[in-house]
Amino acid sequence: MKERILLGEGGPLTEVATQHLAGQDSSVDIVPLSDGARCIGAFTKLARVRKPPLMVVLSGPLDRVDVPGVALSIRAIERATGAEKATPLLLYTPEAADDDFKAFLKSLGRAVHLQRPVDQRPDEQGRRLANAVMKLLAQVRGK
Amino acid sequence: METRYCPSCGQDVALENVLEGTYLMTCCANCGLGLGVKLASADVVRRYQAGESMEERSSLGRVELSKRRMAIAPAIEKPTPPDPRSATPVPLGAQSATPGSSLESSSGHSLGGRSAGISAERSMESSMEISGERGGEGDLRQMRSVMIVEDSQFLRQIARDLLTERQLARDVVECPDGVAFIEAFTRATLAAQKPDLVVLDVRMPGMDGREVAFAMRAIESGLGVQRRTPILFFSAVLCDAEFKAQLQSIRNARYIRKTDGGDAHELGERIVTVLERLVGGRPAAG
Repeated sequence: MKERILLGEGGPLTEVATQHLAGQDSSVDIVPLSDGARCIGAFTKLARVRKPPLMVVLSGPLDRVDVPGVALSIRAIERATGAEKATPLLLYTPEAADDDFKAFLKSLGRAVHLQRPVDQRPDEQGRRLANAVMKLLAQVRGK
Repeated sequence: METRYCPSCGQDVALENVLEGTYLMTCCANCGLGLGVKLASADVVRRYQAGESMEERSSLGRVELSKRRMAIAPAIEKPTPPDPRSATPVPLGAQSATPGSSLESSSGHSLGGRSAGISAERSMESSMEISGERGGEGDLRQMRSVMIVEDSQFLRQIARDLLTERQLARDVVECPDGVAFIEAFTRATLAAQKPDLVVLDVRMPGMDGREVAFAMRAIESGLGVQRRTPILFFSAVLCDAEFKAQLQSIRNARYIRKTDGGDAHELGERIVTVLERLVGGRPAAG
């Protein structure tokens, strides 16, 4: 069974990023999720059967539960389910990472932030996201 | 156009927005969740104000009470406290008791406060019923555990003391923020010890209460939980249109507004009063 990457994105990037990723690495299944609550639900389902995703990509803003809330929830679910290790998180948000945000990232552990260039076209934003996912994936797999 | 009077929002509502039957003093599709809570016609309202019994109202044929509802009726018919400030949950859509909804009953009590209190019960029950998740008789009367998510330690403590002293819940779990709650809730659900009710503040550090509620529902879904735990939002945040829409998708959820200037003890009392009404004033089993 293919390993999974959960992709939380409520906007137009899903298609671009998914196509780009599928073209570069066919060994992973990209699971698109349209809001933060769906990300938490999907993650819980996988955590329950002890098959956590390879990583979770959170492209903000997300409806219902925004990126920081989803990230915090994922860590809380991991603690509750006794996960062996933290799932890598990639946070793709328009905000620049100030000191507070850096402290927040640090508290999450195994989380990286990429600023989303909102002034760029969606396909460019999607490509940027896909490239970042591929780099992180290589790190996760120890390549 | 035929209309019905809604005692919660004080407006005449088109009949097409009114679902038939059940209880008086609930809100309508205009002002509430629209989850099947019912309106009574103006003559039923008048008879209610005149102090007629539930049975008499039932005999009008407009108020059809199921066995389950009849079982709850004594709790609703209990004398209301003379202080209208106590237990005045705000009907969804009416952020506070609007002048139009505050009617005087023959007993001299503010019907606005009373109706709002009943509205909370009805809406909670109704939403549970609509979603088909109600368990057996008396499920809310025997609350095994309640989780309180509130950043004020003082208020949490008061609510916990009151709930346990009055035997409304056997176990009260306190969570200082949403993240702690999500962890505790997931653990409890995995251990088949899901709480019977969650009391949730809205403004909290870290995750907003509404986000927490959505996360909770997602966790229930992810863990394959069949029966959603009801949520009682208890907050100073106004229940605006956006919040109402969120409540609808979060169901089963209910909102009560913290009054301005109320002290922590009063707020704790209000939570307990609403819970007492929800559980029919009976002590928890065991």
